[in-house]
Amino acid sequence: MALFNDGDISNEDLFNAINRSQGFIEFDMDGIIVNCNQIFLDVVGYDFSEIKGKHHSIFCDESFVKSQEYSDFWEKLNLGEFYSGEYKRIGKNGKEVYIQATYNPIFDKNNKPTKVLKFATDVTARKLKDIETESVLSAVRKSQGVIEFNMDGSVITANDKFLDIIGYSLEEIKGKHHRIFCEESYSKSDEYKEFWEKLNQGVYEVNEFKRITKNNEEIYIQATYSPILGLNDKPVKVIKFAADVTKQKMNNAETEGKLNAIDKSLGTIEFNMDGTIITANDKFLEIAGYSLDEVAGKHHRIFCEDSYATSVEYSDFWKKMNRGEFDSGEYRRIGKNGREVYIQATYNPIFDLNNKPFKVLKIASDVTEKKRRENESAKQAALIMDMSTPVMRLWDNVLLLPIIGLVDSKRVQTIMEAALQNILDYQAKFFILDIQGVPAIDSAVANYLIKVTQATKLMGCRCIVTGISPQISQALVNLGIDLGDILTQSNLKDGVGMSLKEMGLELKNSDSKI
Amino acid sequence: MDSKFEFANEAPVITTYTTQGCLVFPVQTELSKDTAMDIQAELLQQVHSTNYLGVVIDLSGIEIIDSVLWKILLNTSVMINVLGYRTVVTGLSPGVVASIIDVNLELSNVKTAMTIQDALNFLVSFKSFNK
Repeated sequence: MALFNDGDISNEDLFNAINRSQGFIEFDMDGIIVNCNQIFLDVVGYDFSEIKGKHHSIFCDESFVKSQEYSDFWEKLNLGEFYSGEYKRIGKNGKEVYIQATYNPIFDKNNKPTKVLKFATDVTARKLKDIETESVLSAVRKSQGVIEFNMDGSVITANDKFLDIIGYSLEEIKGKHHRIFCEESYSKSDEYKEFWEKLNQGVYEVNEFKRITKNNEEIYIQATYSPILGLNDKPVKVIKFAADVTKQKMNNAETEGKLNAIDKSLGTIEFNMDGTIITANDKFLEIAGYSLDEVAGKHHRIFCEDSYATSVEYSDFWKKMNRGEFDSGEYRRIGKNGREVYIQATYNPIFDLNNKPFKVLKIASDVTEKKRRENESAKQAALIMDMSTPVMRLWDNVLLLPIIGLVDSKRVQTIMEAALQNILDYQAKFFILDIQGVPAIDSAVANYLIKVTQATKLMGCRCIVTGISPQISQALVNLGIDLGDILTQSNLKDGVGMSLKEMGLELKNSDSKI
Repeated sequence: MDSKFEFANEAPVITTYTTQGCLVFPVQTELSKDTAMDIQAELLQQVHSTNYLGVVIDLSGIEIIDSVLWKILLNTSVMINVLGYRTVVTGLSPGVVASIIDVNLELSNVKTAMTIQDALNFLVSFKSFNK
C-alpha cells in the first residue's frame, strides 16, 4: 500500500478497491485533515464538514496529544517514516474506537513527503473481545494455578498461584519435566505415558490428580490439561489449570470413611415418609433375616407385631416422623419367620431443602442377645430376691432368718418386711438373725441390721443376732458401731439355746437313746 | 366413742379398762395432736388416782403413725414411769414399725410387746419381782 501513488493511473482500481473496503483519510504534513471517505467517517462518527481542516489530534486523547510521543510521531512521518499498528482513537462525543491503521507518507519527485494517507479498519469489537478474554484469563490466573508445558512435558512457565500449590519457585521447575510433580510409581507407569500421548493427540484431560509437592507432601488438585492447537491443528503446548482440593478430598475421605464404618458396624434402612422401605444395608438385612428384594417397597410394619402395627401408638409414631421429630430407643421387632429381635435404633427424618422431611433413615444395632441376657439376669435377680428372705419357723414362737450374701438398702427392706410379717403371723417371741453368710460388714450393713433388730423389738419380739465370726466382731468394734442392747451370739446353736432357755424350755437327751 | 363428745369442748372421755391389776388403754383411731395431749393428761390422772401394776398402751387399732404422735406416746410412757409404773406399748403393726424405723424415730425408753397378754405377763412379773 505504501507503493500507492497519487498520479499512478494503473493503481486507480486498486485505490478504489481499498477505498470501498477500508477507512481512508488524508492529512497534509502538518496533520491537518484534507480528505476522507465515508467508511472512516462511520468509524469516528463525524461528518466530513466537522473535521475538514481540523488537526489529527481531535482523534486522540488529550494526554497523548500533549505527549512527546505524539510530536515524535508527526516528526517521523515528516521524515518519511511509515507507521502501522493498532491505535486507540477518540471518535465524536468521546467514543473510544480501536483502529488497525497504516500511516503512509506520500513523496514528491524530490523525495519529500507531501501528505500522509491513512488507511484504517475499525477493530473496536475485536479489541473489546480481546480485552474481555484477557481479563477473564487474568481472573483465572489470579484464582487458579496455571502452568504451561511444551508437548514433551517440560515446563514453560507457571503462575504464582500454581507455584504456591506445588511449593517450587519458577526457576526450579522451568525446563523440568512434568513428572517431578508425580509419584515415581505413577510417572513410570504406562498410564502416565498414555496420558502424555493423549495430550499430544490434542485430547484434553479433566480430573482430580494426586501430585507431590517440593516438600514431598501429597496433594490433590482438580485440574484441566488443555492442549493448545497450532495453525495446523497440531498441539503446540499444554495449558493446565489447577486448584488445590486436598482439603475437600481429605474431608470427603473422612466422611466416606465414617459412612463406611457405620455401614459395616450398624444396620441402616431408609423409609419413605409413608413408611415404605427404600433400601437397607446388608447389616440390617442380616439382623432382620430378609433379603433386600423381600423388603424393598414393603411397609415398615412387616417388622412389627400385628397388635402393634394396628395400634394408635404405631400410627402416632409415623405421624411423629412426618412432623420431622426424631425417635430413638430399644424396639422389639419381628424378623423373618416371626423371629423376635430386639434392636437399639434411631429413626432420623432427613430434610429436603425446604426443611420438609422426605425420608427416614433408621440406624439400628442388634441387641437381641443383650436383651436375652438382661431378661435372664432379671429373672435370676427375682429368684435371688425370693431366696434372700427364707424365714423359717424353728420352734413355737422362734423364727430364724439366715442372711446369705451382700446386704443393701433394697434387700434390707425386703428382709424387714418379711421379718415383721412373719413375727406377726407366728406370734414370735424370738427372732434369730443369722449373718454367718454375710461376707463382710461395714457401717452401712451394720446399720441395716441394727434397724432390723430395732423393728423386731418394736413388734415386741426379741432379736438375737448369731453367726458373728471373730473377724466381724473385730470389724464391728473397730468401726465403732454401737450394738446397744442387741443380743448376739457367735453361732446359731448358742442363739437357739439362748432363745429356748429364755422361754423356759430345755433340750434333754432322751434316756432311751443313750 | 360418741362423736358428739369429740366436738364438745371438754376433756375426752377415754375408754380404758383394768385387767390383772393393769390399766389397758386401747387406741382405736388415729389421734390428732390436741386429742393426744388431752388423753395424756387424762391417762396420767387415772394412773395417779388408782394403784395399778402398770399401763398397757395398745396401738393395734392404728395403721399409721407420725413423729408427733409417737413423741407424745413416748413422753406419756416416760411420765408414767416417773409416777412409778411401767408402761408397755403393744400391737404395733409391721407397717407402723417400718415407718418408725424408716424415719429414725426415738426408740429408747420404750418397752414393747406383741400382744396385750404378753404385756400383762411382763408387768405382773416385773411388779412381783420388784416387791
